[in-house]
Amino acid sequence: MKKITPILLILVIASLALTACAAPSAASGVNTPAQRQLTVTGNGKVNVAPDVAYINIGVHTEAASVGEALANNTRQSQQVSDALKVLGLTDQDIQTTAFNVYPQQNYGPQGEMLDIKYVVDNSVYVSVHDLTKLGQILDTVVKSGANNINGITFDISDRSAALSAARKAAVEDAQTQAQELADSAGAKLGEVQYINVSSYTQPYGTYSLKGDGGMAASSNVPVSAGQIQVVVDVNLTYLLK
Amino acid sequence: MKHKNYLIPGFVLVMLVSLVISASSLKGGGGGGGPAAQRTISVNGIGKVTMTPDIATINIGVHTENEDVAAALSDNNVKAQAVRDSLTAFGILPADIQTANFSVYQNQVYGPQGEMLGIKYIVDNTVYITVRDLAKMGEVLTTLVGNGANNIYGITFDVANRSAALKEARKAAVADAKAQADELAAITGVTLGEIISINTNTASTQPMYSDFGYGGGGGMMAAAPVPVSSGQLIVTVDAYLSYEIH
Repeated sequence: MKKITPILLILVIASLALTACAAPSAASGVNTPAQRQLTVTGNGKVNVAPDVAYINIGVHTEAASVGEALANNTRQSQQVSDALKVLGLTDQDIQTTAFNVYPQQNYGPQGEMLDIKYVVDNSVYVSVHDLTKLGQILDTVVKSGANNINGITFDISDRSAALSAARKAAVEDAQTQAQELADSAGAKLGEVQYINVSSYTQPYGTYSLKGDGGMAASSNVPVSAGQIQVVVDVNLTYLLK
Repeated sequence: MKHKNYLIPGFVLVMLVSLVISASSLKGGGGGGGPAAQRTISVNGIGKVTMTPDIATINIGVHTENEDVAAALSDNNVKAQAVRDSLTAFGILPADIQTANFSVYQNQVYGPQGEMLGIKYIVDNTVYITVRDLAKMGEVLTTLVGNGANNIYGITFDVANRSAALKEARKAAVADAKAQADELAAITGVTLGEIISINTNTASTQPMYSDFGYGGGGGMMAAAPVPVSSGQLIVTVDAYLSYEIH
């Protein structure tokens, strides 16, 4: 009795000890090693001055008769269109986005219903490639009869060079981060395992940097193109040695 | 004595359990390694192709009002028929004319003090048309309004057959993705292997944004007709490519 019990105890302790050391030895990978990896995200940003602007330019007219509303609208719209051509816009830069004709109820001072009036809207969406002319264009179209203008946006017509520079900066950022992390963790960087890229653009404040946007002469509408930021994220996964 | 009989099986059980645990943890640890994972590079290329629209769609409506529903209707019928006739005269085919709305309803008429004065009837007859000769678009609109159309909305330009543009955009998207992969491989010092996966995605076409100004002219009209410009459309294709890397 008293002899068997210690033997059993020893066996139990031995098997528990085996359990304890089994886990670490498996993790260190004696036969088939688990991959040790380091993943970082690098970010590259490049600011570019826009070289194209988009804007909606509309003519809105109202009259008691639909014929009169249309005739007025057509005359003013034609003047706007002619002005755009004179200022260097081509057919490709102008697209009709709205041509609407609709009746609208007129109300009197007490809210009573009066006659019907007709409304005609003719709007074009234009691309302006010479931003130095943008202020002059806006000023001229309003004087030519445009009375409904909205939605100005700036863009870069060819962003491939900026994207390329941003990708390079993003990879360098990721590589620097990976080296830093490996050094501080006392590990060595191995081969790159995965590379993923994604990119997007965002407007960048007009107050910053070079500011070579299309600020127009003071007699025209002042407009500023500011900058657009091209952003690239790169995910790099390294093997650790 | 009886005490011992329970004790020994108890110890044996504990032993067995702990051995099973150690065995399973060994197995689990070994499974973590597995075959070497594939090294990859994933890029997203974009291809854009500018198209010059060759068709336009628009809603053309006749709206009439009268205290008498029959009078509102007959007034509307005369004008709607005149609109239909001028569409035909412009060579617009029956297949390109579809009635989008025919509504008859009454509106309460109110006086200066908010009192109800009576009812008026409203008739709307609207057709959705496709214009395939954009050079005539402005003239069509002017003539239709002259013949009684007084409720017009929703002009949209489109390209009837965009398969060639889509093909070109797909090609450009893959080329862009490949160029990006080459660039990244050079920067990171890896070598591109086989393509593992290709996915493409066609974004909806958007108006204009003429990145490069080629293509035919839009249909800007001369003096009298409504000025209408078809501008340009852009078709965009995204290509997602994964390469094996060495």
